[in-house]
Amino acid sequence: MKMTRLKMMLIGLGVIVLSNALALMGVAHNRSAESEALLELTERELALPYRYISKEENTGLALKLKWRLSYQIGYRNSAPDSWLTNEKLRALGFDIPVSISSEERKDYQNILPRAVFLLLEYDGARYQHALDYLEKRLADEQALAMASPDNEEFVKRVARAQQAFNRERTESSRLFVIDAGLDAEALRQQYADRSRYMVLKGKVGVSTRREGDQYLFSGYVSDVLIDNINVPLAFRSTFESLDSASYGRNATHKPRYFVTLKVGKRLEPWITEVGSL
Amino acid sequence: MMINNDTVKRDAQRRSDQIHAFRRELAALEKEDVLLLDEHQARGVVNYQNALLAEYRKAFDVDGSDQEKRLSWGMKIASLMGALALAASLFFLFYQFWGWLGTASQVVVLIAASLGSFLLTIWVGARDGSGYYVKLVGLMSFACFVLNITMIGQIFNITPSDNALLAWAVFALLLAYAYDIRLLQVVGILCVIAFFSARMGAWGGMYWLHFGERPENFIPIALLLFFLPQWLDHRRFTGFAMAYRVMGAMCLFIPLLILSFWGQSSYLKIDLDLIEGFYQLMGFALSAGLIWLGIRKNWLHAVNTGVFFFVLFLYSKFFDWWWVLMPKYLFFMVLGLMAVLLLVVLTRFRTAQYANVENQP
Repeated sequence: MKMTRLKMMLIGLGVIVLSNALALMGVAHNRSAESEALLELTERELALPYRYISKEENTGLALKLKWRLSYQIGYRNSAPDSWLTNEKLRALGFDIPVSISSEERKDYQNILPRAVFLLLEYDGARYQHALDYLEKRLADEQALAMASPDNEEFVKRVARAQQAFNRERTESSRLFVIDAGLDAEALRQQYADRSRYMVLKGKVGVSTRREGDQYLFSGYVSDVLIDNINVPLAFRSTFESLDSASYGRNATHKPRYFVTLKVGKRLEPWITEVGSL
Repeated sequence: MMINNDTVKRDAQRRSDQIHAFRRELAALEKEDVLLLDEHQARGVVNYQNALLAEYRKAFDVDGSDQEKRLSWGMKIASLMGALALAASLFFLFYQFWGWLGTASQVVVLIAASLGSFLLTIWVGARDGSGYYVKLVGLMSFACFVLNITMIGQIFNITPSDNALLAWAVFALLLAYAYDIRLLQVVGILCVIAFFSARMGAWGGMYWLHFGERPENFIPIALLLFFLPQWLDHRRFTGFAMAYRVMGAMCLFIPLLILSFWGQSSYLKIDLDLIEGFYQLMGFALSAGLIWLGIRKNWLHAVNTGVFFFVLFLYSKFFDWWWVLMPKYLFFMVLGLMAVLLLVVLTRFRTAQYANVENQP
């Protein structure tokens, strides 16, 4: 186990150089040739971090990718996502039956999330569905309030429905996770529009829910692996005068910037353009 | 009189301690008129020993007295605290200014910091006989490398990978072996444990960052680490073999303890009581086995680790079985009696060991 100083120096330098070279070659490979996706997003989908106000200790800036699931509409956030069916979960590698009894449940309580490819849709059918859903709910609440004008509860419900609809229309993210798979190419082939759909790496987990005397499995998207997107110095000027707290409180409720996001061969995103709106 | 090149600081310190002990014992024997060296012999021994001590002090900065030893401990602690503080300072320094640099500058600064701090470690290592400064700079160098890889990942939005753990492990162990830095050896071992356990988890289908949620992922690497000093000669490295064994044992017993209470975290798809019972049994048997092995091989650290986990398994099981059932005075009395029983057993072992030593010529 005797090591000369020269040998030690060479190994150490080798480890540093090789680690950096591999990382940078990976970056070059990711960003070479045609991109996997090219989306123009806004502050609604790429938000400033909450901590951005206290930037004295950390001068770096990363935007937070705000992705959603179909059921996260308005204040309703309980039903499982319709596309994450039992069959889909099994296709993603989860070894689960259709249903289990309460005795069997303990065997399935600690199923760990698996790495998958996620398909995200920007400003597409899912977002339109969310808008339609909230618009219909507002109309229903207004109809109820009109039928019973003295009922204060109905008036409050109209106000809440109006607020939810307005937020959906002007503030909420339009980026929805709509599918998952173990083959990124297969997902891309189903949704060819690279300016509306992007494939990213993520995690899907499984939980159980009770229905009668049986337990059924529900899937959930637990993470998009890269959801903090670094902002290079060249694009920082757009964000200098902004902070996360003021968005949503401004009078127009309109996003203040757009960001062009590219996704490369290794499904790693990066920012190529930023501008004020 | 030349110092052998292979002599390391540990051997020099041990020889220095032997010389001081010899002098104390000789003085006691002379006082009791048991052994009296003539003047020529006494001067010869003293001159030889003084020359040896002077050379050890010059080459390895060994401690000559108990006071010096206590001071050395203070210096070791100061060196450790300084290294940790400087490593933290490096992280905060970079975070404070990196936003003002362009991407290319960020990359250059990170790589230059890694290379520069590594070369500085080599330079200090060639000049620092005491070893305190090289330990400090070595830890900073490791911190620079961790920062380097982490920040490259953040700058370019790279998918987190367990390969980073492998690179950190190699770098930490390289510095640890080159400059006898046990703290970096432990850090390197932790990276190795995390890497292999993550790979085990990924082979089992989970996303690698969840490796800690399946304690069985840790068992193969724990056994490998524990037996590694049997295959690699570590006599030249102070306490390295001990660190492998203790870390290996901890990496084995902590998962066993978790599994003995939380069978749901196991890969095994059998009855939960059976899983927990099996791992309880394994915990007791293996910790008892470690005590036995430690006594047999004269590894005090293994005995202590084994006793610690055996008692932990025992007490946690007692709590599990009897905390609700027994009156509290009885519960604690049983714990106390068990400790006494353990003491009796260990005393008997010690007496047997002592008898063996006594019977040696």
